Amino acid sequence: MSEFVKMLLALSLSGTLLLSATLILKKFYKNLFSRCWQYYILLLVAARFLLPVVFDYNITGYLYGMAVNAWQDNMPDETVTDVKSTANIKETKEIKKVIGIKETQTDIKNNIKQDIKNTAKNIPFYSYLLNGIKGIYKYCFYIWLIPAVVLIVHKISVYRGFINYIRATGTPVQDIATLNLLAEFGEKLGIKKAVELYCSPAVSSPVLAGFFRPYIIIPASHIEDKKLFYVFLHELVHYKRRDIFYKWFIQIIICVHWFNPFTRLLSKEVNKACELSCDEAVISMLDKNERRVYGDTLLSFVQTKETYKNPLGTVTLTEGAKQLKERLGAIMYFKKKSAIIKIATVIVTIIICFNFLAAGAYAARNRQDSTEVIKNTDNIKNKEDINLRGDNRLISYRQRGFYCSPYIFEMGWDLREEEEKLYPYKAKVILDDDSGIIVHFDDKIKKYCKDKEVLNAAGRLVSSIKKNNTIIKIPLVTRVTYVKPEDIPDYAEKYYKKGDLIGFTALFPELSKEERSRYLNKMYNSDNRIVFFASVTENIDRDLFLTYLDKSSEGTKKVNFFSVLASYAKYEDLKYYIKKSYKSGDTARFAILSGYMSVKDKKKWLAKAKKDKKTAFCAILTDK
Amino acid sequence: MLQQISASELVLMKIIWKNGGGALYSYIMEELEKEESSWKKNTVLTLLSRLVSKKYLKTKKIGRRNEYIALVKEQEYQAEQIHSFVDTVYEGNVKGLVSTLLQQDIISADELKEIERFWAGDNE
Repeated sequence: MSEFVKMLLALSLSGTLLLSATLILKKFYKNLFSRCWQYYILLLVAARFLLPVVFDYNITGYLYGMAVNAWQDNMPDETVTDVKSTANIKETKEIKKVIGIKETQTDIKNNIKQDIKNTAKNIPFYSYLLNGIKGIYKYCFYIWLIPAVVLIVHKISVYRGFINYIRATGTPVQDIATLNLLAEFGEKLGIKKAVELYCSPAVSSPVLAGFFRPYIIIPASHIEDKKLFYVFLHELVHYKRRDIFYKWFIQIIICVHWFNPFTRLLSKEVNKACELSCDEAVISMLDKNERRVYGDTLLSFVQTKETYKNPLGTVTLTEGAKQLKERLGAIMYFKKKSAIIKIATVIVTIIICFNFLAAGAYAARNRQDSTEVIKNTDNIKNKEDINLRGDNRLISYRQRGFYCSPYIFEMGWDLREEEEKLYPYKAKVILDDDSGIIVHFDDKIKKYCKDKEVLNAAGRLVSSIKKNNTIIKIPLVTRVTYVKPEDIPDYAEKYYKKGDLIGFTALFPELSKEERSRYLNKMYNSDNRIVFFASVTENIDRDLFLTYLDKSSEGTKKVNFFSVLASYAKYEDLKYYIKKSYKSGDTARFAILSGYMSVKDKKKWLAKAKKDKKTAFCAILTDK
Repeated sequence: MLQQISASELVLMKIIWKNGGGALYSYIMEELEKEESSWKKNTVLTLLSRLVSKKYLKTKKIGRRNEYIALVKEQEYQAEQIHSFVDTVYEGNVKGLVSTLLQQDIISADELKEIERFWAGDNE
């Protein structure tokens, strides 16, 4: 699912939460606070649907995280499957190798999930259903886009239809006295633009339309001058406050969030608040008798005739009898707000603004995720860590280097089914047990997919990897380099100097023990090349491994090497270093080691740290 | 074919024609005040913009001020009006118009003769 659709769903959820909260609050402030405030606060709520402004921690981020997790658990995700099934067999070490340094505590949970998923996959109907959902999942951007565009086009054409109808049936008002009345109010309200005045039998209640060239349309029936006065006042206040822009703003929200029925409720509430606040602005200019006439004026335009009702994207004087009752009530009970009410207004404003941020959006979660990814890639800068999905998932497809005489192969085998199509060059390779497997070749090296020697070597390579109980489904070869066995030391030297990590890692296990020891020494001491060191760690001989583990447990400089070595060490070996780092007060290494502790040991150490009042260690042990 | 304009719009057109086919908004307002009309600023702006949309005027920005330039000459307008008048009232029969003019003493027999002479001389 594209990030965009995720963000949109999050905004929808966020807006709905804020709208609900505000409407509940409205029960209390409805008759207390100024209508103008009520209107603008609703517009603020509406903005929540479109603006991805966020706090770092927020409700939507939390809810969304839960939803996404649940969703992913139900997805037939090949990459996850492969990595996790490897994990089942080869314990947690393998997972760390593939993913980088991440996830230790969740492994058990994941394994359980994996078991359930594997069981599910064995039931054809269930897997069929999952694949169906996956298909929809892929197209959901278009599923969203098409109705949104259709709705917007529809709304615009309805609006244009109305405007054209008015042009065709209406006539510009020629009476200078009427025009002067309108001009006079315009000047009074500080409106610089001339507002056009039309008269049309198509409307039964006065309407304001037009973005940049405003016009008021009055019904063709005769209107007394006294009433016209209020009609103009009302519509000009609408124009001055740019209510038409806000109406379209809401219409755009409805189009973008067409799947969310709450946007209709939002639109209804905003329309109501808009009229009430406009009335409020008008009657604040009037005395008590004039207010009554204003009310009469509203009443006289209640829609009874079959004409254009509530033309879309325009502002009409009256939008129905039901709402009118509330408006008339508000007119009669209008009074200036007291100081206490003003203070209360400020408080509620702060509450809603806080909610605005707290409701949040998906973007915040996203930010957290990406920092985690950066952390990971910092530790091991895998230039071969090809992230085929293009998003920030942690589990990504990764290539590794292998030597299978006389070729270096760069190969990975977590290719997902849909990615298979991207690599059309493939060949069948026979394995040791006489079974066959399709191996994909990258575009650059397509010539090798017909080379018998290469295919033979690839077959031996896949067989040997499979011997380690690694499941290989869809292997992809992205590099083949011919290296004669006697040239291995020379090539290794060349690759090490050039910084060719894949080539070097492939040749490292083929070197003599002395050579390996020499390279490790160079990487560890003189060159400080942690990336190379990390990529060959699994092939270090046990005696050398323990030497380096011990060396790196001292001092402050080699903590990064220690971290890499610890991830490959047996827990038995690590116990000694846990004690050592605790005694010497080495929190950095203790923190690394705490990630490998069993629950029981963790409790034991926590009790000890508490007893010794070593708060730093307590913090490490309680930190999840 | 020109669109019909209202009497108040014609008042504005006449001011612009008198000024040589172009006038600033402020000039138009001054002239209107001389005629002691009580037109408001926005009323005049509305009428002017109607004339613009009817293609009688175009606007030219001079700094922050608008100059209104006539796209239709006075004679063109008069000709157009008389044609449409003859068409609608006399169904295209000019004789009818002339006889009304004579009957109502709007035009004297001498004046008519002069016009006839002028017309004949023009066609030679």
